[in-house]
Amino acid sequence: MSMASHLLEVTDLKVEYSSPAGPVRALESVSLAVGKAETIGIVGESGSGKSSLGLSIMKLLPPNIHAFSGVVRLEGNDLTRLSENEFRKSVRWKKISMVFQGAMNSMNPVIRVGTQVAEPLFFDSSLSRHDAELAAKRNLRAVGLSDEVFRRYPHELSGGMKQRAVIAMALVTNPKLVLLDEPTSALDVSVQAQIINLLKKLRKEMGLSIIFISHDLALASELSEKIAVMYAGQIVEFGTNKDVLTHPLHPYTQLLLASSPRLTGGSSPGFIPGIPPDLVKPPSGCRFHPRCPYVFERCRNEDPLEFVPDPGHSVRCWLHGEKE
Amino acid sequence: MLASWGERMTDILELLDAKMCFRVGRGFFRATALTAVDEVSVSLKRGETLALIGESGSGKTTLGRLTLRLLEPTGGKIIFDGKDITHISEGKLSWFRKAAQMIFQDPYSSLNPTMSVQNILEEPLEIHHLNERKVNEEMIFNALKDCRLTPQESFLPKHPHLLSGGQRQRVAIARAIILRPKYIVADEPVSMIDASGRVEILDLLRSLQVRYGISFLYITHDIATARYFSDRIAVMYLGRIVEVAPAEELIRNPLHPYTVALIGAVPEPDPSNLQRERPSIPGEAPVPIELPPVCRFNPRCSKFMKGTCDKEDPALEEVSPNHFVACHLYS
Repeated sequence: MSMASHLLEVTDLKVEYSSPAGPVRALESVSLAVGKAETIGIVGESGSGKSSLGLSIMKLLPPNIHAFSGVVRLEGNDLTRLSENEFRKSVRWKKISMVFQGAMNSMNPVIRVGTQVAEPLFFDSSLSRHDAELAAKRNLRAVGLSDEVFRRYPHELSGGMKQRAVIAMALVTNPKLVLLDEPTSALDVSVQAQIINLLKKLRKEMGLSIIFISHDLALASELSEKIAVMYAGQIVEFGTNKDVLTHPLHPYTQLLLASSPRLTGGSSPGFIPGIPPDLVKPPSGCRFHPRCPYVFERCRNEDPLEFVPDPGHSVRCWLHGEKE
Repeated sequence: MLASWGERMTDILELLDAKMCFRVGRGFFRATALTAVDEVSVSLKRGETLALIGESGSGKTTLGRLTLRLLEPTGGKIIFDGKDITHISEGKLSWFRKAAQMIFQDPYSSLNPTMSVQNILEEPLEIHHLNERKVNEEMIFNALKDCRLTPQESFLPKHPHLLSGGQRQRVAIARAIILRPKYIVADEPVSMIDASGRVEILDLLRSLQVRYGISFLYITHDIATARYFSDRIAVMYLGRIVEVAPAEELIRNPLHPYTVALIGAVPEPDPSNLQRERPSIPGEAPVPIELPPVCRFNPRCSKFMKGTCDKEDPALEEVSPNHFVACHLYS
């Protein structure tokens, strides 16, 4: 992968949180590259580390960090070397912004929607308040909200309208990359479909790169050209949307795809027995081995390497490794 | 567990024109009423699962609470096991409280964090004055075994925070079945559970249903799990049931434009999604305050017929065997 073609490159990221029971190994050996105007889906269940990955990129990890290593490069510059002050001034919300999980319900109830959407621009000294508000109005229109919404309070909006407003807030500074953490999980399916269609339209118009974090593979496939599947703090499979959905390599991805009831087809879904591991004491070897139907001796002892059986489609599983 | 023939013939639950209005504001001359459930008639057979699907604000949870008499309806009748319980006072409902139970959406808030699993399972027994220690212990052990929480000894002293989401939900299910209810309202029981564990919980509910002959009202916004778990599906929109049919029939042959749109809006894991727009329903459902007596879906409907849909309120009618729909297209 050439450096120039990627907007964001995460290399060998490791994050551990401290907890009374010992360090929680939330992320380990996570590497990911996001191209310009590309959308990457990060899919995983609760505790898989997908939100920690998002927060690492935004430099918003909670204070109880026990260990952090790895490199996060934006257009070639290592963001992990920047101080909080530098990061806030030049990167956060300027170049990378984020729609947090549940953001629509954390809007300030006593401040008008328009003011909240314009707020990221108030910190830009080159813009007058009036210009910032004009930009906010333009963005509200871009997400399909009328000018009248500008003067309303959050409680006067429906769920779908609030979600549109927080998307407008994330885009008001014209960022290059936006992280969306479960942006539609609190919405009804019909409204969810509206928001996904909106994101498709905006991404095209603005040439935006997106990291779309979701627990739902089907939903991620709506927007993502490439999908990274996470399990217990690691990316276990990475490939194009088509590769991952139609030709999944990792047993976890295969089981995850087979475990959701669907509206089409007759086969009954299955489930993955057991529960995700405790990341204070993750299992030896492959972290999925206690739940894996294909487990063999090597899986119990050795952490699997990342193999690339097909170009652009990688998997962290001994089944696809060179035979001993 | 065999019910007598006569018992089998009657439905476990019947709602007749059930109506629930909430007062939301008071004007100078009159109060404003929000009609959450509007003259709904539906019945549930013994051992059957009826899924109630709809979006937030459709009234599905209010309907579920009505069937449990957690709310007293403002109109209509609720018949449970052949008895009219519409306006029976709480003091005379203890037999019903034992026979009808509920499983909630969020296993993180439906279990008291200060109580151990043992306390949680003892509580319903104490409330219903089942005080024989030996018998109770056995009931708790069996309930845990039924819910695949074994070895039971290891779970009894645990507090909820030590359990995973799926295990918590199974404790909540054990609490619901310990009194051997005939009817359970399961309100989004798997929406907070990770995708890989949902089917496990639904399979568990089904095995309990087969073993104990429980009837389920399965409230959900997820049509795919409704297809998997239920015998029939009822679709609610703004307080009304707009379509009811056997699950497979409803998914394969949806008639109401709302059902069609709802099914079309569900994402499937398909790479071609990337190239196309997802079909969506324009707008959002309004708050059901003083709705005119016309089709409630007409402002968002793609098949809107002027002069009919905005003039008359369609009734729920049987258009093919066991397939009911409330839409002017079919009347």
